[in-house]
Amino acid sequence: MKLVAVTACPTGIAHTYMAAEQLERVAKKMGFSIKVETQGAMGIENELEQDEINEAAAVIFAVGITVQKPERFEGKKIFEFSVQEAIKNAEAILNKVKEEIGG
Amino acid sequence: MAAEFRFEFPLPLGLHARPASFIQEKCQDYKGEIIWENQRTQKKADAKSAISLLTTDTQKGDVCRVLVSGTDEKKFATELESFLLKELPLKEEQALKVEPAAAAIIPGVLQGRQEMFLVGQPASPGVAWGKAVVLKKQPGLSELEELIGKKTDSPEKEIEVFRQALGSLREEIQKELAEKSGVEKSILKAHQSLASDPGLLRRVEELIEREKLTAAAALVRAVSEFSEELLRSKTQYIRERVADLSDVALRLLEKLGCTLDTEKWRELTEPSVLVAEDLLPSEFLSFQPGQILGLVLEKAGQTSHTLIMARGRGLPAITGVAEACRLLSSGEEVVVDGNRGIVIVSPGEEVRKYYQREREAEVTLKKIRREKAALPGVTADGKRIEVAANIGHPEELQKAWEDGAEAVGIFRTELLLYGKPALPSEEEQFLLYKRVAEVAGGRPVIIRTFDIGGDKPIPCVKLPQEPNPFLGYRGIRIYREYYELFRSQVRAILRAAGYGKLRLMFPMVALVEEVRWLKEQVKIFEQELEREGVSLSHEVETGIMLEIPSVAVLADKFAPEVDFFSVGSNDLVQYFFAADRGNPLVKYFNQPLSPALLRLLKLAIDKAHENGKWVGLCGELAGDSRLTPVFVGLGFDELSMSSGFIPEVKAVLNRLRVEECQKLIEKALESSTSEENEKLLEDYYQRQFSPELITPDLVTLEADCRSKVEVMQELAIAFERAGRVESRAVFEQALWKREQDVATEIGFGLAIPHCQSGTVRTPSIGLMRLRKPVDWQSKEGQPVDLIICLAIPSGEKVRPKLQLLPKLSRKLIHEEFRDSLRQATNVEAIVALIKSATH
Repeated sequence: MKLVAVTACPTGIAHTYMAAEQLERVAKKMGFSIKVETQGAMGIENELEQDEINEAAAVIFAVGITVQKPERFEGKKIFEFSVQEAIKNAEAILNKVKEEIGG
Repeated sequence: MAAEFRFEFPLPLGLHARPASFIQEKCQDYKGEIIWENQRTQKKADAKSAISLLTTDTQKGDVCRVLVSGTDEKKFATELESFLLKELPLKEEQALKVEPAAAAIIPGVLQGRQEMFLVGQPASPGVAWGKAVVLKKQPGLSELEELIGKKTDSPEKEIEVFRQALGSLREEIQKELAEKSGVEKSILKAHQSLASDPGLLRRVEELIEREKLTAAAALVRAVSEFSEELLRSKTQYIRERVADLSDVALRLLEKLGCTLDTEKWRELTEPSVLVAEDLLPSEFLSFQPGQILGLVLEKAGQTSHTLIMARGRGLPAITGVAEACRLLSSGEEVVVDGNRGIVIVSPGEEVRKYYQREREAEVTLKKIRREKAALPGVTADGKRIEVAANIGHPEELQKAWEDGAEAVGIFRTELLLYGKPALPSEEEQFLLYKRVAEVAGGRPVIIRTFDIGGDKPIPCVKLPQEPNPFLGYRGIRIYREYYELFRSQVRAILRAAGYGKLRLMFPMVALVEEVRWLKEQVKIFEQELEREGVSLSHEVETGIMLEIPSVAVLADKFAPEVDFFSVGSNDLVQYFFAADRGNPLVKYFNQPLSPALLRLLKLAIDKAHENGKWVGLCGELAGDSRLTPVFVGLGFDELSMSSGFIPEVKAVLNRLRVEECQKLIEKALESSTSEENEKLLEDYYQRQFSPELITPDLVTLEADCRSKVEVMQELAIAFERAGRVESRAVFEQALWKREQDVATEIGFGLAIPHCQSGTVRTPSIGLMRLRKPVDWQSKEGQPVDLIICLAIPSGEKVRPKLQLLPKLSRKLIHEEFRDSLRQATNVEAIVALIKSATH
């Protein structure tokens, strides 16, 4: 199953990257493919291409602020969580996504 | 024959003290009589007296008739009419701008606690702790008027009594002056001059004669009139002079035999925190130095003399605390936090401990700062670079010396004119510059002559409206027209120079012929003074500001004409890039590391040095210690800044080697963009003595902190101690603000408090390991025993190091890394682990 995700928090120096790392780590462990875009103090990094978004089974937002360039995700199924949840319960998040999209 | 004109009074607030003194100033030197007649109130006044003008009760729109009789009466009448209709409204408008005040910061310890606290504004740093003594409000002058609004049968006798009282007060102040020094002395001098103000004294005598009031009653009435006018001013500085006026008045009343109820509280049984509506300077001085622990004031202004003295003595103080006298009671225990601007009543255990730690930290921090301030202005390899202070008022001198200033690199004299109704006379200026020279002792003081115009409109000098004031009539360019302004200032400086080591500096020079003209005039003034019998003991060094690029380009031709140059970086940058520094749309051009700017400076400094002349830097940039290697590499001989920056700049300077700085500049001159130079500077720091992201002094192992509050406080203290943040209070608040969004506890016993704040000097990581876990007040409530604190400076510029923090954050997700941090046996091992994670 292919997933894409965006992480973003108010200060953009810590949680954004921790959540990204955690999602990547746990997804790998669970056997998913995931690409995580970070929107932090350094700007947008590891930016998601439209193709990648189109191909993804679902979009995960782990955010504490508004996502930039939201138009890219129009029509996609979006699962939104707080950054903290992504850091603390990445596994539960991914299981929930899996259940809902039936993958 | 008299010349006359009628006009409608234009000022919205009517004719109050400030415009009245402007008018007085305009009229006082006219040889003849000027009568002001308000057609509505039918009152007449002598336009040469401000106080007399006030009595005409002139409001906006009142038709007034002005009669001028004397020399050139027609010419003067026309001039005066134009002054009243055009210049006066402009001056008024400029004077009405009110300065903003700093706001209070609530310390972390008060989060969700019960203690009552009152907020105000920080007015003098430090923490005071003790019993409050609430001082009785001063008897209002209007109450006194009822009390003593008595008439007399023998006005002559009353005038005699009044003059005697005045003489005795002047003598008393004179005696006090002998015992004081520095700031306190200069404030007493101001009081002495109030006690000799001719307008005030004339008004008192007038009231005694005409209304048959007793001396005391007349004094009260005159002072009330004058104070009322001052209080209507929207300029804070002017309003705050009322305290000085009341002070002098109350002392005079005592001399007149009125018993005032002010003695009672002067005897404190133990050192106390004084709580008062306001505290007059003489009241402040009447306490023994050790008796006051701190001040909580309702109304004193930041520029009030009492607060200036409190700062001088290092007494914690806050002001603007509404209803402090009503809400606080004598005998209550209070903590005054002068760093944050709050006062806490009956502090509980937690708060007491918090402030105990604050006080301990203050002692260490003060010591570190004093040590840095005491360093000589010299590089590690022995090159002398004078580190000087920028000042705008003589009262700042004491603090400048304490901060370690070795000289005054620029005394911006035009600041003396703000809020002043009239230009100071030559004599006034002479006394002031003389005092500066004396207070400075042997230390050199560069007095920059009035730089009026541009962004510095001065109420008492009216300049034409210009489309581009920065490119227009400012600095020395107005001296030919305002010759007297120029002449009186230079003469005053020349006269005062013998009392110390004063230097003369001219602003806004663009052409060599301007310097020649200025020097000719200085010569003329010197000859005048010699003819007047003033001995000019020695040559006064004369320099120019280097703020217009033409001076830099032609520095070799300017150099033989001057003794020194001083670069005004703010203006130089804006003139060089044709970018208004106040315009946010072109703020981008403020690039201190631009290769073009560096080449310009290098050219100028080299040419000056070839001609044996020295070059200083007195712009804002000088205080940015990050840039100190650049300035050393360029060859600056002097760096002058707001004195608060001096300890840090000295600390950096003492670690630099000239040769390395020169190498840096050699490369920087060959760059094409500022960005390349930012990188070069960053590399230089990495190689030479970069503040790493983390250093051992930012790590605390097995700390005994019992609560989140304590952890946050200790982190803030450690960051200030390590020189990473400007203000720990601001930093701590920024950390708490982030916690309030969502607690930064992220599971695994780990919390990562962090912030981006202007108070952070350089990107930094702190780490604390706790002996016992604490509750981080997060939703899930997991206890925390490992804390990693990330701090980054604000600003658009993303410094290269910023990329390293995300790296560390990602690393923290991995259990092995967290374990290694928990198991590391010493501080060095932690530092090494963090460094490896951020590479």
